[in-house]
Amino acid sequence: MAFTCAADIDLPKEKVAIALTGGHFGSHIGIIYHSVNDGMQLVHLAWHQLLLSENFPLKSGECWVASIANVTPAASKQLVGVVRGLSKHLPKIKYGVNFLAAQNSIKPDGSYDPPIGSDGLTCATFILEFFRAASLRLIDEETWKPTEANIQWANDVCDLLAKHGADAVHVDHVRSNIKGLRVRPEEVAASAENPRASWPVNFITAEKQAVKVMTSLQNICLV
Amino acid sequence: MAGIDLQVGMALNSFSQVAIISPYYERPRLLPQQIAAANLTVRHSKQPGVLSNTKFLLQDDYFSPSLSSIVVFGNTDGFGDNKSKDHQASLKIQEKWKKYLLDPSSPVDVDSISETIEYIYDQISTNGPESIDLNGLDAHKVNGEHLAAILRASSMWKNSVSGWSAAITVSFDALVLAEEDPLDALAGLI
Repeated sequence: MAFTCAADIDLPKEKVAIALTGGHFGSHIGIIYHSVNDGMQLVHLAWHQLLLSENFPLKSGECWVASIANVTPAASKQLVGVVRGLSKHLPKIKYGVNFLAAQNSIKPDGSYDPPIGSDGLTCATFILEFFRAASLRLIDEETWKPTEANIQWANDVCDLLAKHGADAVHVDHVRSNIKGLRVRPEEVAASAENPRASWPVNFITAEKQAVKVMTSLQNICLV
Repeated sequence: MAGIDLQVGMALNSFSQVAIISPYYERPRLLPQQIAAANLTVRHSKQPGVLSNTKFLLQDDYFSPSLSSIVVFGNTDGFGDNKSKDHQASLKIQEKWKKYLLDPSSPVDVDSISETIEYIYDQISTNGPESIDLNGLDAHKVNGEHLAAILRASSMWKNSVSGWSAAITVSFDALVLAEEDPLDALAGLI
């Protein structure tokens, strides 16, 4: 299923959708699902220690694109159960760049228990960890490649953390982890469009498919 | 048939486990739950420390004259008030997540599945993953989708949840019996 305007998405109750919008660092990602009592919700790591679950579409009128995650029917129902549980707790999750050290940070009961060495998650790696908490591995992190642009991005993240909400110890921790690696929101979004049987998706595939996702976002929201 | 005084005052319920400690065995021997249920008669005490009126009657080859003691664990009825209250709360949560699990014809819509997952999380956060016991489940008597949901919800603690790995097979078999695709419900777990 291709990414379409999220406000118009026909999301069955037993499915989750991956949603993408423009963001400070290019794009921003979250998960849309149906709660039991409060209708459609968007859960996303908005910033350092700011995990939100909000009524969707957002009151702000922000434009998002979305696509239903390509998960088989029974597993998809379980995924909805896991995201509902997680959204009840909304733990304070640090914002950080080292996604390799952050694996298994989120427990399916909604608790956040980062392993030693983890500096936190981004909006994109939060989605990866959500899937991992449900025993679904979306991407093959080991295949991700470092770039110079990612080093610049990570430095920008540190500068923004220093200005908004993070203490010096955390900023130093994140800065010490800058290695040029980054999982972009659009790469996560593209990966979730692949059939579950082809997960975990490797970097080359995700990077290639991410271009199409960004084109959808540009055409629908950013024109 | 012989009777043995129980050393701790506990009641047997469907999720209790019974171990036999005997010089015949190198280590405590777990009695299969169905045999325990069929062959043990339990009169349990509600008074902490009053154990003499609790007696197990064994009628099969698990019994031997040299049997020295039986330990029942998994249920702490009859202990101190706080423990008893905690245990009662734990049992109530267990009843909730077992509601759909132990009925092959339970609804499997997303809200029922979510409910089972929610109660598993409650059980884990209240009593820890060790309090979940998935031993002794029968594929003919469980709902495969709800068991798969329990397995997914507890997968990060699979080493602490008793019977987790064996329950994968039970769920697989139950899903086949229900003509559901086990590779769907158990995706990523097997």
